[in-house]
Amino acid sequence: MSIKIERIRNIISTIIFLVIVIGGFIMHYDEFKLDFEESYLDASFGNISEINSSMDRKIKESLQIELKRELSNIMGIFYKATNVDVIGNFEYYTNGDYILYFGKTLSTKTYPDVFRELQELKKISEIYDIELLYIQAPQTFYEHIHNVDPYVASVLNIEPRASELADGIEKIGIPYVDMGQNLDSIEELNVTDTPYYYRYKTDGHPTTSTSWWAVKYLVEYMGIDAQEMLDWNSYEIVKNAFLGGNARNVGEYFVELDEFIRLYPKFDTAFTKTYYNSTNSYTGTFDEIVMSGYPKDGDCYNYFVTDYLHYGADCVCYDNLLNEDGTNVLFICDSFGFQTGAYLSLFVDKLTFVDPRFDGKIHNLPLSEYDYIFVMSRSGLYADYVLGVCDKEGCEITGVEKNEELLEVYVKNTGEVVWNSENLVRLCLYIDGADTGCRWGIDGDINVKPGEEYVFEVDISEFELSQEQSYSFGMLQEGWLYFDNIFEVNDILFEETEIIY
Amino acid sequence: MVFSSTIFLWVFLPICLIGYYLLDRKFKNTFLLIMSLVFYAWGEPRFVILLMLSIIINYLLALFIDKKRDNKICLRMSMIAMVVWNFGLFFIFKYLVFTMKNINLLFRADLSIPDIALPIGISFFTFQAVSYVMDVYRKKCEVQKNLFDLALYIAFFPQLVAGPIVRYNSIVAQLKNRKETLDLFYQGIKRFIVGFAKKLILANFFAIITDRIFNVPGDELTFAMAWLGGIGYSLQLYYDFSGYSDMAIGLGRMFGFEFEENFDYPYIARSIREYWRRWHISLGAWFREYVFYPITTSRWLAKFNKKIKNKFGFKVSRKVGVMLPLFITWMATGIWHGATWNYVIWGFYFSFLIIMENLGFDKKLESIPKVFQHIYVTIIMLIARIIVRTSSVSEFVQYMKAMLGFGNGFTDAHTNFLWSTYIVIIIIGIIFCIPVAKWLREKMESKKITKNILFVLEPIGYFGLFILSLSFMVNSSYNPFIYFNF
Repeated sequence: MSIKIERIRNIISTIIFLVIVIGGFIMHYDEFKLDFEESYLDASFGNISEINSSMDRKIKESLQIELKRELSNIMGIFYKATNVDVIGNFEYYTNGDYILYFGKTLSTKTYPDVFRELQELKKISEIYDIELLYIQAPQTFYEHIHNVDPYVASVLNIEPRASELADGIEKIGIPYVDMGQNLDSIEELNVTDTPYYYRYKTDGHPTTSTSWWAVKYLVEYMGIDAQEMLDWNSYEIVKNAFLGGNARNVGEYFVELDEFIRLYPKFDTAFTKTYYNSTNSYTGTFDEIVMSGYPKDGDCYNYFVTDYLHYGADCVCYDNLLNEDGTNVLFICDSFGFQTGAYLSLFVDKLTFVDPRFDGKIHNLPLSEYDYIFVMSRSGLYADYVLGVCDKEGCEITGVEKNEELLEVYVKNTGEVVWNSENLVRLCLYIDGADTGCRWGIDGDINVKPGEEYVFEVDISEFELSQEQSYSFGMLQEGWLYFDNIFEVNDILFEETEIIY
Repeated sequence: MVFSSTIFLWVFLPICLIGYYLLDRKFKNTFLLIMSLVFYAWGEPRFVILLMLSIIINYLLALFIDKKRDNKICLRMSMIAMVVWNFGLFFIFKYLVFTMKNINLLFRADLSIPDIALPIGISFFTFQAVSYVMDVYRKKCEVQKNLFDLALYIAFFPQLVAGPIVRYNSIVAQLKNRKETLDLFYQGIKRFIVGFAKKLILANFFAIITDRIFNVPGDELTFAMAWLGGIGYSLQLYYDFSGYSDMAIGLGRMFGFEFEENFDYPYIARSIREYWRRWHISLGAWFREYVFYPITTSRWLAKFNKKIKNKFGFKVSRKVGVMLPLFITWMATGIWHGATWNYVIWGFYFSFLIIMENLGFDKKLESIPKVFQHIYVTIIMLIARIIVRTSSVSEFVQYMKAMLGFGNGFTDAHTNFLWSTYIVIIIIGIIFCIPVAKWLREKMESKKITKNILFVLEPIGYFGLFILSLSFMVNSSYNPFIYFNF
């Protein structure tokens, strides 16, 4: 090969490299400028690494969606070619035609706790003449349907857990339905041939069809005659390609795309939405009020499966203004029930939607007003959030003391599981009842055993404290649940001087 | 800043390249120095001052040594000052907490343990600074009168935080007179891509396996899982560190520098001595030149040997003359890696093995079939990896028990799941840590037709690898290199 040709090759290669590198810089110049100006220049030295990772994240997020999609697909091909199913912190198990997701199975609660709490809930519901129904959502998979790797089965251990829950609930005497037992009744789906299809292939959540099937069940359970409204012909059906959260990193070639269906009522609707702990309310149609949780991101690759209600909102009441004589429902669920709850609001007068993972105060809800309480969970994967309904605590904040510039927060583990930095049990600061996102973890290798106390040394000097605001501490298990014990500290903060910091 | 991050690739590197190639020759080094300080400050802003102080003090010391060369007392005093400053700094930041904790433990003392953060790259830039002053002292090079050039040598960003440890006399000429060429730049791109892929595709995969297995409680470890963890960690360490070195060498070439190689397929070694001539070559070379040789030629060792000779005879004294410097050097190498007892044990472990090989075990080794020589090195290195990866002696013992088959049985569902998931990646990892690609390339270059095919395929292959690595980078979270901890 002549030197000239070799030189040409080297020039072309160098240009390609420079185009990728410098092109990347030009594409992300705005993010870089923004972050540098807004964060870096104002930051104290200790914050640099946070800015570093924040910039890295922003650059990644700002990548053109098509480019990101193609890069994800390339990575997916590699995973596929090497038969790798495990990605980062999340794990995937693929067996040809379906993909599973499982996360940590951490929980600070055990089933005996759940049963005790449910007993209390049952007592309350009997006092107020509320019909209580416990709904076991379909599991991610069933051993008798799917060909599951023994290890995955042992980790998830779903069916035994579900059975244990079902047995316990039956003993308490709460009506219980395992939706998973009725999968064959999802007529729209040929579940026998495509067993994964009651949930998204690329996400652990149930599909719209599955949620609608649950809505039908609940509407019939409540004895509401609404055949016309239950017919999909009464809705405008919008279908989009969808790549769920659990698979977005590996691209469509690895897992294929899902179909995401939205149903928009053709009939008139009018709703008022009120957030719990807030006097603000919003009025509009079903589309505007219930289905506007997240902005759309084009027709394809909308990452949000829970595009209904408001994921992350703790407690929201939907008042169906055109059904004033309908029933009043308290719907307690995690993301598995989001779509079900959203559509169910069309058939009732009021639907109060609660995701107990985001609210530790729902026991303050006026239970006497409800006709039905539906508790929907998927016990196999999640922490047993249903405990949030009741007043049994996993922790008790026994006191807060000022120690020079620091606050010492004394916390007692009243649950049954050890707390440590690994299971993400942390102290959280609330301002005016809202989670500030400010956390203090348990130090290093320390294990706080049930019955033991731990002292958090807390520096909140970065907050400009004001007597007009309310400050409180609470415990949480990151990503899973808030403990229901909030300790207000205004008296301590503003004890002697107006502002201690 | 991490080479395998978006900020480096799409912000820092383009600014560096554009600035460097647009500037006039006389400003290039200063520009690289400023960018290197920015690179360091990005992750460790507090310690930039420390880095600069270290540069200035070593610069002044070398000037003083050069000026007072005829005054032996001054020379000696300046060398003592150099050792005190550099290794004092090293000790305070790296070993003080460890030392105090152990004093508390041993003597039941109650010393309050200071909260000292380890400045990234201190082990590397301190060694480079020592290399410079030592080379000036030994007249191996001329003193550097330009502070900025010396600062660039010590703080040049490709090798600043995780090596390779560049010895001053090997790079001094390039500081002033280097020529950036298209061919060198292209070589740099290729090398950078190889390192980029090693880190993002392979090392991060092996990190997942390793983290997972080493988090399994010791009594749940099966035989097959323990071996998978050992193999996974060996591969992770190799691809992580050699990937970083490849990127550093590649980046150096993009700016006209030629760094020495740091890895040469260590896992094909047939003795431990050979292994260390192939693994982290620059560290081995540094210890050889600035620790081992000075000890072997030192007067105190000669005196000591003489005493031994008089008492036990020539044979013994000759053996001691080899053993003692080796022992000191390998203990120092172990401690250099980290302030934990694991690395002290690691130091003893390798001291023993290297001494054994020097005392004749290597001859016996050569007499056995090559395959067994490879097995010997592989097992020795696996054990060494487990020494440093486990967090306590009891964990190490439990891990070794599992590796020897006395753990939780041969296999279980978890083990089968991991093996079936990662077997292809493990095979890829093993293939590329032996010189298969090198051999294939040589074969293809030996015939005209295959050479022409290689000529066309080479850039396609490299950029394919680059794009694949980019896909991993975009989808991954922050993932620093293991050697940042050293």
